[in-house]
Amino acid sequence: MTQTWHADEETLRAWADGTAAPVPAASLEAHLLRCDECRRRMATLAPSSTGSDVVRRWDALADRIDRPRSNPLLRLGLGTPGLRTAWLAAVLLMLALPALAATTGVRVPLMMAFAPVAPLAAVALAYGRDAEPAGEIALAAPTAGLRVVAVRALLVALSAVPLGVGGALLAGLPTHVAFGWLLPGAAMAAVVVLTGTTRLDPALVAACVGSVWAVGVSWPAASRRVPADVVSDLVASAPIQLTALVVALGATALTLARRDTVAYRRTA
Amino acid sequence: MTTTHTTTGTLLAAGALTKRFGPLTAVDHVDLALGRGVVGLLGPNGAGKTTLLRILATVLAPDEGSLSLLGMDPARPSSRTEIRRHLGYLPQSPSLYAGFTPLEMVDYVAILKEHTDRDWRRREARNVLEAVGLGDRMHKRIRTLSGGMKQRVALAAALIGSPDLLVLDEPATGLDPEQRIALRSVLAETADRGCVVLSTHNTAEVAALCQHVLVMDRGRICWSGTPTDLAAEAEGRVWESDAEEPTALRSWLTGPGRRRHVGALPAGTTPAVPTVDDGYLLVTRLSR
Repeated sequence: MTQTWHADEETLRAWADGTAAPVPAASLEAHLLRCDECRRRMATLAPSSTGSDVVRRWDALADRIDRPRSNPLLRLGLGTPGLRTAWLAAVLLMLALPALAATTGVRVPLMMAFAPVAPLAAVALAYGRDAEPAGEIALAAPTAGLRVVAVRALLVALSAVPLGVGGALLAGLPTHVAFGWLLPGAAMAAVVVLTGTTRLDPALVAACVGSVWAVGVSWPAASRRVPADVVSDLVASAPIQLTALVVALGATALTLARRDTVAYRRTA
Repeated sequence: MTTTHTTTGTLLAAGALTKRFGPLTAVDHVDLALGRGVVGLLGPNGAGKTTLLRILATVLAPDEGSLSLLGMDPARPSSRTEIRRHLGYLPQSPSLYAGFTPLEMVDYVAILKEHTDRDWRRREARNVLEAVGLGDRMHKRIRTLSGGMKQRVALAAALIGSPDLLVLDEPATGLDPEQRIALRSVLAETADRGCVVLSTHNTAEVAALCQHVLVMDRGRICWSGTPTDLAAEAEGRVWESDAEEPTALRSWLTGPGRRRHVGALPAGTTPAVPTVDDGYLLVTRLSR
């Protein structure tokens, strides 16, 4: 951690001896909490007489420094920059899409084409090799497999989905558009989760399924054959929504049945 | 071959354990019965040690054979999760997130091991990092640590939660002799209540760390016993001379012009005092 100043020898020694005045002592303790360098220097001076007030305060300080800062769920789901980027990207997409769909006059049904892609991208990133900071160590842990993937996907979904729906409603998009992307998105995400139980690479499947959906939904409108509204209405129609629901439930059931393969490898 | 050196029941039992990768049989009908203590898996590179350890760490499923870890069957998902609650695993090349500090890394692994109590995690993480000699580096980013220190961070992560079964793939790599001695006392603590299986291709490490040795070659366990027994295998079958010896199974240079041999002792030659190295080289050659 970068610090612009460091405590001088005299201040450190006064604190270690227990002779520092209360205000400078408090100020130094606040500094020690943030500064590795001064802690290291303090450790070399560290009070040796056990049971003294200074020892007690030094231990209290060490306790505060070492205490894990965030809760386990967040460490698991957002512990690394890669995971945080996935989360941030999903949230930003969900903030930007409704606004874009409402304000720009493009012919493409933006919301229907791109919102369902967000959940599956989040799932693919959660499966990613780089997403797991502990590598093979994580595979030998009791939480290994679907549990960790599910925590990561849910964390992203729980923050992104309400934003997407709420944003779309606020931006004045029709209700069936604001909600209509949810089931297709869930269906595709469930399919990607399912591929995680096979030898296929979830990221590759996510990229393929996502692009096919985005292009398939945008194309008729972009090529001026069908107005964007008609495409949106079609996606939100009962047959397509029902199909998406069946795919989502079927893929989820299959995943649960095959959940062992995520954490117990038959191949190298 | 069955190995029994336990006084208090079997913690790890394997019967005809086999794993193939295409045409290669990495683990070939391995039988094991291990109780409390530190067991060293010794063998040349490519002998199948890592594959066997990955199976024992429940990371890889065997193709054939039976396996029981801590009295449970890892093929059953619910028992596998239960086994993993009491398992510490150090992979061969552990991947550690470089942006974490050792304390954060160990804390993260503790979360993966279902430890939700923050104060417990902090206390335990500090304890295991102190135990591997990283007490003064807890707050440095892992990317700034040396290879040996990274190895010890991963070892600390394996030790968190006092596991009953410790599976360590080459734990002494990157450790200096002093740290290796420290490692021995850390492992002895686990060995008091549980089973430690570690791999190495270094005979000195086996002698320093293990009470029991399994020599592995070409996917099979070809010898089993104590390090002293392994040295004794070469009793009367090792000697030194200045020339090539026709009766030697293996010969190697030990100094300028000086050769050491294992094999059938030529008549009239004085045998040398055997080392674990001699025994190892002899049994791996005899097994082929």
